[in-house]
Amino acid sequence: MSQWRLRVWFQDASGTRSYTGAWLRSPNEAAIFAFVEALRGLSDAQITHVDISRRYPYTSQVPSGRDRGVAVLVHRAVDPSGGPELDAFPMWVPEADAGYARDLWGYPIDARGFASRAGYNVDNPLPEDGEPVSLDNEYPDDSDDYYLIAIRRNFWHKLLRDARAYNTLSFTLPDAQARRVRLDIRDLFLGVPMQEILQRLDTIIQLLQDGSANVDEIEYLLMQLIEALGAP
Amino acid sequence: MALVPDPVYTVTYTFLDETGSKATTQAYIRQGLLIQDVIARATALAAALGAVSNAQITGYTISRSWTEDAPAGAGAGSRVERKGRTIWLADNYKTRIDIPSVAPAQILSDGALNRNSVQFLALRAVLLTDFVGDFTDSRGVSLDALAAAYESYVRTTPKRQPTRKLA
Repeated sequence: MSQWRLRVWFQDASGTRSYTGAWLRSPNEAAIFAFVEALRGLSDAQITHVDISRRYPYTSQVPSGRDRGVAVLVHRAVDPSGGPELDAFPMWVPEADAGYARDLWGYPIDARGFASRAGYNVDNPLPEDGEPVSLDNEYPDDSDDYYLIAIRRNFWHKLLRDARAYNTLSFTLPDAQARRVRLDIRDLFLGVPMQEILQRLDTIIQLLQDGSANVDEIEYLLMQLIEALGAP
Repeated sequence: MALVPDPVYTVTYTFLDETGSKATTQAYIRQGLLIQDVIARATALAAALGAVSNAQITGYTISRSWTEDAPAGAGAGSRVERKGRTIWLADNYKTRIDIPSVAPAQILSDGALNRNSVQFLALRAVLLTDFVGDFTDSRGVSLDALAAAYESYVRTTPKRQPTRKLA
Protein backbone atom coordinates (compact mmCIF):
# COMPACT_ATOMS: atom_id res chain seq x y z
CA MET A 1 0.00 0.00 0.00
CA SER A 2 1.93 2.97 -1.24
CA GLN A 3 -0.79 5.51 -0.46
CA TRP A 4 -2.57 6.61 2.67
CA ARG A 5 -5.92 4.91 3.12
CA LEU A 6 -8.60 7.20 4.52
CA ARG A 7 -11.73 5.67 6.02
CA VAL A 8 -14.80 7.60 7.14
CA TRP A 9 -17.13 5.59 9.38
CA PHE A 10 -20.91 6.00 9.34
CA GLN A 11 -23.72 4.73 11.51
CA ASP A 12 -27.32 4.67 10.32
CA ALA A 13 -30.61 4.83 12.21
CA SER A 14 -30.56 1.08 12.88
CA GLY A 15 -27.12 1.26 14.47
CA THR A 16 -25.46 -0.45 11.51
CA ARG A 17 -21.96 0.76 10.70
CA SER A 18 -20.19 1.09 7.41
CA TYR A 19 -17.30 3.06 6.02
CA THR A 20 -16.20 4.61 2.83
CA GLY A 21 -12.62 5.03 1.78
CA ALA A 22 -10.40 7.20 -0.33
CA TRP A 23 -6.71 7.18 -1.20
CA LEU A 24 -4.49 10.09 -0.29
CA ARG A 25 -0.95 10.95 -1.25
CA SER A 26 -0.26 12.43 2.20
CA PRO A 27 -2.20 12.71 5.47
CA ASN A 28 -3.20 16.32 4.75
CA GLU A 29 -5.60 17.31 7.53
CA ALA A 30 -7.25 20.08 5.52
CA ALA A 31 -8.05 17.67 2.68
CA ILE A 32 -9.30 15.02 5.11
CA PHE A 33 -11.63 17.38 6.94
CA ALA A 34 -12.95 18.87 3.68
CA PHE A 35 -13.69 15.37 2.38
CA VAL A 36 -15.49 14.47 5.60
CA GLU A 37 -17.58 17.64 5.50
CA ALA A 38 -18.54 16.98 1.87
CA LEU A 39 -19.66 13.47 2.80
CA ARG A 40 -21.58 14.84 5.77
CA GLY A 41 -23.62 16.94 3.37
CA LEU A 42 -24.42 14.01 1.08
CA SER A 43 -25.36 11.34 3.63
CA ASP A 44 -28.17 11.17 6.16
CA ALA A 45 -26.24 8.75 8.37
CA GLN A 46 -24.02 10.09 11.14
CA ILE A 47 -20.25 10.11 10.92
CA THR A 48 -18.72 8.53 14.02
CA HIS A 49 -14.99 8.54 13.38
CA VAL A 50 -12.28 8.86 10.78
CA ASP A 51 -8.98 7.04 10.44
CA ILE A 52 -6.07 7.04 8.10
CA SER A 53 -3.26 4.55 7.76
CA ARG A 54 -0.40 3.54 5.57
CA ARG A 55 1.65 0.35 5.57
CA TYR A 56 5.36 0.48 4.99
CA PRO A 57 7.04 -2.74 3.89
CA TYR A 58 10.24 -3.46 5.76
CA THR A 59 12.91 -5.99 5.10
CA SER A 60 14.79 -7.25 8.11
CA GLN A 61 16.70 -10.46 8.71
CA VAL A 62 15.40 -13.93 7.88
CA PRO A 63 13.67 -15.32 10.98
CA SER A 64 15.92 -17.67 12.91
CA GLY A 65 15.14 -19.72 15.98
CA ARG A 66 12.11 -19.79 18.18
CA ASP A 67 13.63 -19.86 21.61
CA ARG A 68 13.66 -16.36 23.00
CA GLY A 69 10.05 -16.17 24.12
CA VAL A 70 8.38 -12.84 24.46
CA ALA A 71 9.69 -9.77 26.24
CA VAL A 72 7.37 -7.21 27.70
CA LEU A 73 8.91 -3.81 28.22
CA VAL A 74 7.09 -1.68 30.75
CA HIS A 75 8.18 1.93 30.93
CA ARG A 76 7.01 4.90 32.91
CA ALA A 77 5.10 7.55 30.99
CA VAL A 78 5.09 11.12 32.26
CA ASP A 79 3.50 14.42 31.43
CA PRO A 80 5.23 16.20 28.50
CA SER A 81 6.25 18.97 30.86
CA GLY A 82 7.78 16.50 33.28
CA GLY A 83 6.35 15.69 36.65
CA PRO A 84 4.99 12.52 38.13
CA GLU A 85 4.44 9.19 36.50
CA LEU A 86 0.99 9.18 34.90
CA ASP A 87 0.79 6.09 32.76
CA ALA A 88 2.59 2.93 31.75
CA PHE A 89 3.81 2.05 28.30
CA PRO A 90 3.96 -1.71 27.96
CA MET A 91 5.37 -3.07 24.74
CA TRP A 92 5.28 -6.63 23.50
CA VAL A 93 8.37 -7.80 21.61
CA PRO A 94 8.13 -11.27 20.07
CA GLU A 95 11.20 -13.46 19.96
CA ALA A 96 13.24 -11.21 22.24
CA ASP A 97 13.88 -12.11 25.86
CA ALA A 98 14.66 -9.50 28.46
CA GLY A 99 18.39 -9.64 27.91
CA TYR A 100 18.01 -8.66 24.28
CA ALA A 101 15.08 -6.32 24.85
CA ARG A 102 17.19 -4.18 27.20
CA ASP A 103 19.18 -3.17 24.15
CA LEU A 104 16.14 -1.79 22.35
CA TRP A 105 16.44 1.76 23.58
CA GLY A 106 19.61 3.75 23.20
CA TYR A 107 21.61 4.71 20.17
CA PRO A 108 20.19 5.27 17.55
CA ILE A 109 16.62 5.19 18.88
CA ASP A 110 15.57 6.88 22.11
CA ALA A 111 12.50 5.97 24.16
CA ARG A 112 11.78 9.67 24.60
CA GLY A 113 10.53 9.88 21.02
CA PHE A 114 7.55 7.70 21.89
CA ALA A 115 4.43 8.01 24.00
CA SER A 116 1.94 5.90 25.89
CA ARG A 117 -1.41 5.28 24.25
CA ALA A 118 -2.93 8.14 26.20
CA GLY A 119 -0.26 10.49 24.84
CA TYR A 120 2.09 10.80 27.81
CA ASN A 121 5.80 10.89 27.09
CA VAL A 122 7.69 7.68 27.64
CA ASP A 123 10.52 8.27 30.02
CA ASN A 124 13.90 6.75 29.38
CA PRO A 125 14.24 3.58 31.40
CA LEU A 126 16.54 4.04 34.37
CA PRO A 127 18.51 1.30 36.09
CA GLU A 128 16.31 -0.48 38.65
CA ASP A 129 13.39 1.76 37.74
CA GLY A 130 11.08 0.90 34.91
CA GLU A 131 13.56 -1.42 33.32
CA PRO A 132 12.38 -3.84 30.69
CA VAL A 133 10.87 -6.93 32.23
CA SER A 134 10.26 -10.30 30.69
CA LEU A 135 7.48 -12.81 31.06
CA ASP A 136 10.18 -15.46 31.18
CA ASN A 137 12.45 -14.89 34.07
CA GLU A 138 12.90 -11.32 35.18
CA TYR A 139 9.56 -10.36 36.51
CA PRO A 140 9.65 -7.80 39.32
CA ASP A 141 8.92 -8.84 42.86
CA ASP A 142 5.54 -8.53 44.52
CA SER A 143 6.06 -4.87 45.33
CA ASP A 144 5.69 -4.16 41.62
CA ASP A 145 2.09 -5.23 41.24
CA TYR A 146 1.76 -2.21 38.99
CA TYR A 147 3.56 -4.06 36.21
CA LEU A 148 1.27 -7.04 36.35
CA ILE A 149 -1.74 -4.74 36.10
CA ALA A 150 -0.26 -3.01 33.08
CA ILE A 151 0.47 -6.29 31.36
CA ARG A 152 -2.94 -7.75 32.07
CA ARG A 153 -4.66 -4.60 30.87
CA ASN A 154 -2.78 -4.29 27.63
CA PHE A 155 -2.01 -7.84 26.62
CA TRP A 156 -4.90 -9.82 27.98
CA HIS A 157 -6.08 -10.94 24.55
CA LYS A 158 -2.61 -12.03 23.56
CA LEU A 159 -2.11 -13.88 26.80
CA LEU A 160 -5.33 -15.73 26.22
CA ARG A 161 -4.05 -16.84 22.86
CA ASP A 162 -0.90 -18.14 24.40
CA ALA A 163 -1.86 -19.74 27.68
CA ARG A 164 1.42 -21.60 27.82
CA ALA A 165 3.40 -18.38 28.02
CA TYR A 166 1.04 -17.06 30.65
CA ASN A 167 1.42 -20.24 32.66
CA THR A 168 5.19 -19.83 32.49
CA LEU A 169 4.73 -16.38 33.91
CA SER A 170 2.85 -17.81 36.87
CA PHE A 171 5.89 -19.90 37.86
CA THR A 172 8.04 -16.81 38.12
CA LEU A 173 5.72 -14.78 40.32
CA PRO A 174 5.27 -14.47 44.04
CA ASP A 175 2.45 -16.66 45.36
CA ALA A 176 -0.31 -14.06 45.47
CA GLN A 177 0.16 -12.90 41.91
CA ALA A 178 0.80 -16.39 40.61
CA ARG A 179 -2.54 -17.44 42.00
CA ARG A 180 -4.24 -14.66 40.11
CA VAL A 181 -2.55 -15.71 36.89
CA ARG A 182 -3.55 -19.34 37.38
CA LEU A 183 -7.14 -18.27 37.95
CA ASP A 184 -7.02 -16.35 34.68
CA ILE A 185 -5.79 -19.46 32.91
CA ARG A 186 -8.59 -21.45 34.46
CA ASP A 187 -11.00 -18.83 33.13
CA LEU A 188 -9.48 -19.37 29.73
CA PHE A 189 -10.15 -23.08 29.69
CA LEU A 190 -13.50 -23.02 31.44
CA GLY A 191 -14.82 -19.91 29.79
CA VAL A 192 -15.86 -18.68 33.23
CA PRO A 193 -15.49 -15.04 34.30
CA MET A 194 -13.58 -15.98 37.44
CA GLN A 195 -13.00 -12.40 38.46
CA GLU A 196 -16.75 -11.79 38.69
CA ILE A 197 -17.21 -14.95 40.72
CA LEU A 198 -14.51 -13.96 43.16
CA GLN A 199 -16.02 -10.52 43.56
CA ARG A 200 -19.42 -12.03 44.41
CA LEU A 201 -17.87 -14.49 46.84
CA ASP A 202 -16.11 -11.59 48.51
CA THR A 203 -19.44 -9.79 48.78
CA ILE A 204 -21.08 -12.84 50.34
CA ILE A 205 -18.29 -13.24 52.86
CA GLN A 206 -18.45 -9.57 53.73
CA LEU A 207 -22.22 -9.71 54.24
CA LEU A 208 -21.87 -12.74 56.49
CA GLN A 209 -19.07 -11.14 58.49
CA ASP A 210 -21.06 -7.96 58.96
CA GLY A 211 -24.03 -9.94 60.14
CA SER A 212 -26.15 -7.76 57.88
CA ALA A 213 -27.02 -10.37 55.28
CA ASN A 214 -30.53 -11.58 54.69
CA VAL A 215 -31.48 -14.81 52.99
CA ASP A 216 -32.74 -13.12 49.83
CA GLU A 217 -29.48 -11.30 49.25
CA ILE A 218 -27.39 -14.42 49.75
CA GLU A 219 -29.69 -16.47 47.55
CA TYR A 220 -29.55 -13.85 44.79
CA LEU A 221 -25.75 -13.77 44.84
CA LEU A 222 -25.51 -17.56 44.87
CA MET A 223 -27.87 -17.79 41.91
CA GLN A 224 -25.65 -15.38 40.03
CA LEU A 225 -22.66 -17.56 40.82
CA ILE A 226 -24.43 -20.67 39.57
CA GLU A 227 -25.37 -18.87 36.38
CA ALA A 228 -21.82 -17.63 35.84
CA LEU A 229 -20.49 -21.15 36.31
CA GLY A 230 -22.68 -22.28 33.46
CA ALA A 231 -25.10 -24.51 35.31
CA PRO A 232 -28.35 -25.27 33.39
CA MET B 1 -19.75 18.52 16.86
CA ALA B 2 -16.13 18.16 15.90
CA LEU B 3 -13.59 15.54 14.99
CA VAL B 4 -11.23 15.18 17.93
CA PRO B 5 -7.82 13.67 17.14
CA ASP B 6 -6.41 10.81 19.15
CA PRO B 7 -3.34 12.03 21.05
CA VAL B 8 -0.97 9.68 19.24
CA TYR B 9 -0.02 8.09 15.97
CA THR B 10 -0.15 4.32 16.33
CA VAL B 11 2.64 2.30 14.74
CA THR B 12 1.91 -1.41 14.37
CA TYR B 13 4.84 -3.67 13.57
CA THR B 14 4.32 -7.11 12.05
CA PHE B 15 6.67 -9.95 12.99
CA LEU B 16 7.12 -13.32 11.33
CA ASP B 17 8.96 -16.18 13.06
CA GLU B 18 10.61 -19.16 11.42
CA THR B 19 7.52 -21.34 11.79
CA GLY B 20 5.46 -18.83 9.82
CA SER B 21 3.58 -17.54 12.87
CA LYS B 22 2.82 -13.84 12.86
CA ALA B 23 2.69 -11.40 15.76
CA THR B 24 2.32 -7.67 16.13
CA THR B 25 3.40 -5.02 18.55
CA GLN B 26 2.49 -1.38 18.80
CA ALA B 27 4.27 1.82 19.66
CA TYR B 28 2.84 5.32 19.89
CA ILE B 29 4.18 8.67 18.75
CA ARG B 30 2.73 11.94 19.93
CA GLN B 31 0.68 14.12 17.60
CA GLY B 32 2.07 17.45 16.55
CA LEU B 33 5.11 16.21 14.65
CA LEU B 34 5.69 16.48 10.92
CA ILE B 35 4.70 13.23 9.26
CA GLN B 36 8.27 12.84 7.99
CA ASP B 37 9.47 12.83 11.61
CA VAL B 38 6.87 10.23 12.54
CA ILE B 39 7.96 8.01 9.66
CA ALA B 40 11.61 8.47 10.60
CA ARG B 41 10.97 7.42 14.21
CA ALA B 42 8.88 4.45 13.13
CA THR B 43 11.60 3.31 10.75
CA ALA B 44 14.29 3.70 13.41
CA LEU B 45 12.29 1.63 15.88
CA ALA B 46 11.78 -1.05 13.22
CA ALA B 47 15.53 -1.35 12.90
CA ALA B 48 15.94 -1.49 16.69
CA LEU B 49 13.23 -4.15 17.05
CA GLY B 50 14.83 -6.18 14.30
CA ALA B 51 18.11 -6.07 16.17
CA VAL B 52 16.69 -7.46 19.44
CA SER B 53 14.27 -10.01 17.98
CA ASN B 54 14.90 -13.30 16.26
CA ALA B 55 11.81 -12.77 14.15
CA GLN B 56 11.61 -10.99 10.83
CA ILE B 57 9.85 -7.63 10.68
CA THR B 58 7.77 -7.64 7.51
CA GLY B 59 6.47 -4.10 7.76
CA TYR B 60 4.74 -1.53 9.86
CA THR B 61 1.57 0.51 9.61
CA ILE B 62 1.27 4.10 10.76
CA SER B 63 -2.27 5.13 11.60
CA ARG B 64 -4.07 8.07 13.07
CA SER B 65 -7.73 8.59 13.94
CA TRP B 66 -10.26 11.23 14.84
CA THR B 67 -13.48 10.66 16.78
CA GLU B 68 -16.66 12.70 16.49
CA ASP B 69 -17.17 14.15 19.96
CA ALA B 70 -20.90 14.86 19.60
CA PRO B 71 -22.44 12.97 16.68
CA ALA B 72 -25.50 14.73 15.33
CA GLY B 73 -27.47 11.49 15.15
CA ALA B 74 -28.49 9.51 12.09
CA GLY B 75 -31.46 10.65 10.06
CA ALA B 76 -34.72 8.70 10.33
CA GLY B 77 -34.81 5.89 7.79
CA SER B 78 -31.12 6.09 7.03
CA ARG B 79 -29.58 2.77 5.90
CA VAL B 80 -25.92 2.34 5.09
CA GLU B 81 -26.67 -0.37 2.51
CA ARG B 82 -28.10 2.36 0.31
CA LYS B 83 -25.03 3.80 -1.33
CA GLY B 84 -24.33 6.77 -3.47
CA ARG B 85 -21.79 5.23 -5.79
CA THR B 86 -19.34 7.63 -7.39
CA ILE B 87 -16.79 6.52 -9.97
CA TRP B 88 -13.78 8.74 -10.56
CA LEU B 89 -11.09 8.62 -13.21
CA ALA B 90 -7.37 8.73 -12.56
CA ASP B 91 -5.61 8.83 -15.90
CA ASN B 92 -8.48 6.77 -17.38
CA TYR B 93 -8.35 4.16 -14.62
CA LYS B 94 -11.49 3.98 -12.50
CA THR B 95 -11.68 4.24 -8.73
CA ARG B 96 -14.81 4.14 -6.60
CA ILE B 97 -15.91 6.15 -3.58
CA ASP B 98 -19.23 5.14 -2.03
CA ILE B 99 -21.40 7.38 0.12
CA PRO B 100 -23.17 5.26 2.76
CA SER B 101 -26.84 6.11 3.20
CA VAL B 102 -26.87 8.77 0.53
CA ALA B 103 -29.58 11.34 1.30
CA PRO B 104 -32.75 10.74 -0.74
CA ALA B 105 -32.74 14.40 -1.80
CA GLN B 106 -29.55 13.72 -3.76
CA ILE B 107 -31.12 11.01 -5.91
CA LEU B 108 -32.87 11.87 -9.15
CA SER B 109 -35.91 9.96 -10.38
CA ASP B 110 -33.77 7.93 -12.82
CA GLY B 111 -31.47 6.71 -10.05
CA ALA B 112 -28.55 9.00 -10.82
CA LEU B 113 -27.13 11.31 -8.19
CA ASN B 114 -27.79 14.98 -8.72
CA ARG B 115 -24.37 16.14 -9.91
CA ASN B 116 -25.43 19.76 -9.74
CA SER B 117 -26.49 19.86 -6.11
CA VAL B 118 -24.48 22.11 -3.81
CA GLN B 119 -23.44 19.10 -1.76
CA PHE B 120 -22.26 17.07 -4.72
CA LEU B 121 -20.40 20.00 -6.24
CA ALA B 122 -18.63 20.39 -2.89
CA LEU B 123 -17.46 16.78 -2.98
CA ARG B 124 -16.35 17.15 -6.58
CA ALA B 125 -14.40 20.30 -5.74
CA VAL B 126 -12.63 18.61 -2.81
CA LEU B 127 -11.57 15.63 -4.91
CA LEU B 128 -10.68 17.37 -8.16
CA THR B 129 -9.81 21.03 -7.70
CA ASP B 130 -9.44 22.22 -4.10
CA PHE B 131 -6.68 19.77 -3.17
CA VAL B 132 -5.05 18.99 -6.49
CA GLY B 133 -2.82 15.94 -6.20
CA ASP B 134 -3.95 14.94 -2.70
CA PHE B 135 -6.69 12.48 -3.67
CA THR B 136 -5.52 9.58 -5.79
CA ASP B 137 -6.45 6.06 -6.81
CA SER B 138 -4.74 3.10 -5.16
CA ARG B 139 -1.79 3.41 -7.55
CA GLY B 140 -1.12 6.97 -6.47
CA VAL B 141 -2.38 8.65 -9.65
CA SER B 142 -4.35 11.84 -9.01
CA LEU B 143 -8.10 11.87 -9.62
CA ASP B 144 -8.89 13.99 -12.65
CA ALA B 145 -12.54 13.48 -13.62
CA LEU B 146 -15.91 12.14 -12.54
CA ALA B 147 -17.11 9.15 -14.56
CA ALA B 148 -20.42 8.19 -12.92
CA ALA B 149 -22.62 8.85 -9.89
CA TYR B 150 -25.69 6.79 -9.10
CA GLU B 151 -27.64 5.11 -6.35
CA SER B 152 -26.68 1.53 -5.61
CA TYR B 153 -27.43 -1.11 -3.00
CA VAL B 154 -25.21 -3.68 -1.38
CA ARG B 155 -26.36 -7.05 -0.12
CA THR B 156 -26.94 -7.08 3.61
CA THR B 157 -24.25 -9.13 5.29
CA PRO B 158 -24.57 -10.52 8.83
CA LYS B 159 -22.54 -7.64 10.17
CA ARG B 160 -24.84 -5.17 8.48
CA GLN B 161 -28.08 -6.58 9.79
CA PRO B 162 -30.00 -4.09 11.89
CA THR B 163 -29.37 -4.26 15.59
CA ARG B 164 -33.10 -4.72 16.07
CA LYS B 165 -33.91 -7.57 13.71
CA LEU B 166 -37.43 -8.59 14.69
CA ALA B 167 -40.64 -6.63 14.72
